[in-house]
Amino acid sequence: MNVINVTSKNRQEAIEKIIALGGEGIVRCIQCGACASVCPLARTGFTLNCKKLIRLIQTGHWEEMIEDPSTWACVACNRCTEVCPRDVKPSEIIFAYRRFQAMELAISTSATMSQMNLYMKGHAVFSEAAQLRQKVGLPPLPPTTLSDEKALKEVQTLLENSPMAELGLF
Amino acid sequence: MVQVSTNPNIQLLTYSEVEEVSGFVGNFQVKVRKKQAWVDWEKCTGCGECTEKCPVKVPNEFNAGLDHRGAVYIQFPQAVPKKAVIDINNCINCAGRKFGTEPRISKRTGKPILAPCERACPAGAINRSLPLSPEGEVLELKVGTIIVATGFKVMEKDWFKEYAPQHPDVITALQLERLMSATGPTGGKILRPSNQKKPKVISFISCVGSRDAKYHTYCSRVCCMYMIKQARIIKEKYPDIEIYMHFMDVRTPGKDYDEYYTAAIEKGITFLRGKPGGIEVLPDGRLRVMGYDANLDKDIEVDADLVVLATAMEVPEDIKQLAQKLSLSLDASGFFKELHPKLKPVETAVEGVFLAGCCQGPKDIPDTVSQAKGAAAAAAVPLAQGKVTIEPTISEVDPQRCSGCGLCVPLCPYHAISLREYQGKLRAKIEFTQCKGCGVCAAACPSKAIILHGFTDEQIEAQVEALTSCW
Amino acid sequence: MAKVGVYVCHCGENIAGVVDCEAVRSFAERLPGVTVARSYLFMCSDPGQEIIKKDIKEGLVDRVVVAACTPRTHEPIFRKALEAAGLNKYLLEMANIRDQDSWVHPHDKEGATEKAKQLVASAVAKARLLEPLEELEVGVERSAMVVGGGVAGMFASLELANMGYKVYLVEKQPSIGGVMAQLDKTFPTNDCSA
Repeated sequence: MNVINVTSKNRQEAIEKIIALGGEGIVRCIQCGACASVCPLARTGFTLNCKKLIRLIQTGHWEEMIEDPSTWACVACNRCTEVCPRDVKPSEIIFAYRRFQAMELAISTSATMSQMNLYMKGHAVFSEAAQLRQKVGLPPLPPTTLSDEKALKEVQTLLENSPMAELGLF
Repeated sequence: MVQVSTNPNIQLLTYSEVEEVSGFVGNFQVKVRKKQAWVDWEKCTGCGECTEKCPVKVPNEFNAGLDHRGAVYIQFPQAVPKKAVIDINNCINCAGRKFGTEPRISKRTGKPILAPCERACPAGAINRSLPLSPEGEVLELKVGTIIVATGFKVMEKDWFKEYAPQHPDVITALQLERLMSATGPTGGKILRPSNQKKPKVISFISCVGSRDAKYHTYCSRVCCMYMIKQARIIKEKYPDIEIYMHFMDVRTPGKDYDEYYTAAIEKGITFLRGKPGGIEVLPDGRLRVMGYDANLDKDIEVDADLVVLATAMEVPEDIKQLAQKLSLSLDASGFFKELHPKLKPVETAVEGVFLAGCCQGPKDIPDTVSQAKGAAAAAAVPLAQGKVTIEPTISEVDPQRCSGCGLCVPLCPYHAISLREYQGKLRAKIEFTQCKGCGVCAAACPSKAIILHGFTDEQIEAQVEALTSCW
Repeated sequence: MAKVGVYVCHCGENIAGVVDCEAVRSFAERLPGVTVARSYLFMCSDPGQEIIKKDIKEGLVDRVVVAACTPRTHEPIFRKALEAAGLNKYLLEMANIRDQDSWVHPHDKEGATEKAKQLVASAVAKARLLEPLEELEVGVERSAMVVGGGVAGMFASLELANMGYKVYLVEKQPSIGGVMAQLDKTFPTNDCSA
């Protein structure tokens, strides 16, 4: 169906939720589009820009784009926040929406992988550098959780006691 | 302009500023400082010979900094009055001719060595031997009413770092206005300031500093229309120039305005709804406008040769000083505050002082003219009546109770109180024409000798008692 | 003894939509010094003013309290009504139960009604002590000063000058014209600006 039925109930619920999750600027957005014009997402092929995300939430379409991976591609460069004439802080709205997605387990594969890595290895992103390290005379593993089981255990305990554990990834 | 200068009832006091205002409606005393022009305006014919000889080059404010003027200059070719002034802060005193010094005598000719401006003036209006005062002179005027019409200024482009303000081909709309003008630096030809070549693509960006929480939250009200005007005139003159206009919204709420806008679309000017987030300078010196089209929901890029920023209208810095001199208040955006936004749009909290034009808020020429005529009508009312009534809700001293302590004298914000002799003793006296009924004196008087009519202690106490009682 | 008349205005729905005007009226009726308390849809309308004038002319009232909107716009109207009925116009007190009450407490009808009663009680307390006052008149200098020589300043000066008044036009730049002189052509007629 290409017709959207807009009701005030949905609108209010959506805006209240995004504010509760940290996106208080949403009420100030006038849809000028400055954020979208500088967002690197468009250049990398992601379809959902911050202006459209804000509009969908403003009109109550809170759940429509929950499976869209675009929000996870935001690199927090903050250019949107810099150019926004209404102090909306669009990047914070993207983060707020991410929190909602995470709570609904609508997490992109890349984000799931990095969280699992964090639990298993103590690093969200890492590369296999043992050979390179040995070549320059360093031990194969860096002096972090990778070579310190006690430290890794501590990280895991922290994660198990954090809201992250509720996602059931580990 | 000429109508104004030739009207026998209008006395022009240009190059002058209001120094001090006292009095009240119907009877204001004003001190106006006529700034030192360093040129004898009685003799100056406005021929401009001096301006051509001056070796100094400073940015020409009239052409929005696009070219230069000398230290001695005539503001613009059609200036009224057409008189030269010397900008003494930039004058380099050629030939050591500081004002008020005698010239050196040439050993060769035996004649005095004069500065080029002096030598050039055929009317003898510049004489640097005169010990002119840098303070100018102060005139004292008596007027019944005052209209404040001090206008606005446009924001400079330097504020907007995202729009490559350092690039010469990024200009403000006022600079484009000068490029389009026959009296401007290019004689009316549209040329890129960087290379003096005709641009192929021009981008306009609206709401630069307006409707922006970082600068001014208000809409400047004129930018949409003047941008469309500039685009149309350019398109009519040079149909081959591509014009892209980036708008947050196109606002055309005036008589014949929307028709003016739709005609621009028909002429082939492209309107894009979406605020550009930035400008990138390309290796060839052109400007890439990073925009967004809300109707396509797509990011767009325009590679332009010239970018015009519609920078916001704002109040000049010196508005605060004038507000203080006239006891006027300013609104949250810094403009003069009218008495009531709908019903008293030209009146102020100070009786007899009225507002006209952009000093009250951004507006276009038709609205300004209407408001100016309205302000003139309002300002003429007391003049036509020939008398003003003074509200009786003002303070009065009971000289029998006054102890003459003088406490009230410095407290009065309107300088209405003085100590005068009464039955051989000094007693406070309130000049009823000056008193505004604020009540400061009545509250401060230790002898309870001052009554504020309409707000007596008994009346106020009765009110307080009624408000604090449980009914 | 002062005879205070209290007139409660509904201001259409502006006040009556929040404040129980009848409750305020009957409360006012019982206040000391009040001889008459009435309410009406629009007190500032002609029939509204007539109610006040009639009470004054019939000798029921010699001090007036209007519980309505802001004195900034409406005090002159009610003062004129008093004058027309033969009463000194400074024997009027206004209680602003719109701007200072119904407009700021739209979601608390009970509280707003109580506040309206307090504001009326306070105005009545003052009204009982009001004394007639006389205005003063002074002469006028028949000239004007216009500060700023742009579009607004020039047009204002011309209007006043054409009415026959002496005008001093003060401009800080060497020439009049303001920003307008810098403009090429002006919308919507595209004629030149000078």
